[in-house]
Amino acid sequence: MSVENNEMIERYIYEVIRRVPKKQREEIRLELEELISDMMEQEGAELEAVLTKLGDPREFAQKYSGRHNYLIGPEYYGDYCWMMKVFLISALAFHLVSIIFQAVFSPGLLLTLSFYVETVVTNTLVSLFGGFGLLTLIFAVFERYHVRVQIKITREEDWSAEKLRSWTPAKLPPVPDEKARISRGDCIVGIVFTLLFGLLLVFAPEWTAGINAGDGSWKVVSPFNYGAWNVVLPVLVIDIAIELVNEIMKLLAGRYCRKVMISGILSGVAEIFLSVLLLKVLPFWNPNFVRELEEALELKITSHGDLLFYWNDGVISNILLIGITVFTLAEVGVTVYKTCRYNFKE
Amino acid sequence: MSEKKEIMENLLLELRRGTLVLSVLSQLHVPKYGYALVQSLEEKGVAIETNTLYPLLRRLEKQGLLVSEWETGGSKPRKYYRRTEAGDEVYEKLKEQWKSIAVNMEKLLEES
Repeated sequence: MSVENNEMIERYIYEVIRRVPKKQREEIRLELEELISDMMEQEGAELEAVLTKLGDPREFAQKYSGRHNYLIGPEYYGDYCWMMKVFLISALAFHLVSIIFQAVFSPGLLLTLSFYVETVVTNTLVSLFGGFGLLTLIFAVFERYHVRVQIKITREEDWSAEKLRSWTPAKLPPVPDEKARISRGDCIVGIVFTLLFGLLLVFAPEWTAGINAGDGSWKVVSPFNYGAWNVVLPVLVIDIAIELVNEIMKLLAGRYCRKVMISGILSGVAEIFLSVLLLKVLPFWNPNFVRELEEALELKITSHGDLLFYWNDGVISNILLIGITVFTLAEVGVTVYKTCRYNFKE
Repeated sequence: MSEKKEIMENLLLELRRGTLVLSVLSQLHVPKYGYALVQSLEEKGVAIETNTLYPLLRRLEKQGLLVSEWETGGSKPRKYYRRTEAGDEVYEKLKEQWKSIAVNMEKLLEES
């Protein structure tokens, strides 16, 4: 065999094996060497004809390395679509409400071009596409490394490929009991209020604490500690995001079921934990609130008849914490009760 | 026109693809190396692309239906494949299935 031929064979084989997993390279190289020389000997063909018959090395390599000709396969596609739906709905809702909110609180923005270009179009698109990309990337990684995701427990009513294989009519979920249904309206109201509350905290913290100084000017005195807001705000946002996810889960499920129960319990625990963190650990309250208020109002709060005389952030924290805990536990309790009562008789 | 041709080609490819494993398994009751397998299939009128066959052999080996061995005694090292016990079993079952498919298809096609 001539030197040129050898070089050509080497090139062809290299183009194939550089595209297959390292472990298989040496073996595939030997296989191809054997094959090419067999074809030349037994067909009496020129090397070029042989290589042409073998075809594009890229295709050859693709066949060797098997099934990764797609980003997300049928195994994950159902879960991927479902997660994407959750993400897109929540992201879109968040942006929509945030835009409305900003427009309402600063109508002047409506006259600026940058509001439309940046807030309305760019920010929305960036976060939608960013999230889309990130979610796709995560699932592509799952696919590539065959990570088993168990989202399936949380999506009982869906028939993903795996479900379909072992599906029997007995698996049809019962039509939910009247009392086990979750009203869409309630969920939407919950989502909107959670979003509004979140946006209030994020975009207009000072608005919550405007004080009319009497001479027509506004002074900002807040019971909240804005000096530490960069620590407090993220926790608040996480808290709100968890609540939002929980509400969206309820909306999508449409009834009390295991996934709603799990999400409810998790978000309840997280909420209580974050509340303790906020109210007991982080500097949530403005330590100089009363003094600042006195300065702003140019008076001294000394009277026992004055409600603010009793301002004590420790006590307020405790009251809030008790309230939040009781409320959260009640909500979780109702969810667990309804799920067990109406759903587990399946 | 060319669209029709493309559809036709794809359908044909799909049809052949289904018979590929069975064709390959049928020949490997005795050890054969890759190119000999191509030839013995071609002689019997079953065309298979080399760049499909080699990866397929590896896959069947990974699934435990074939076993391979390098033979270094000859003029050059050759990799011989043959069916394993599991491969025999699968082959027999597939063959039965194929026969019943063939009979039923024949009936279907005659009717029309």
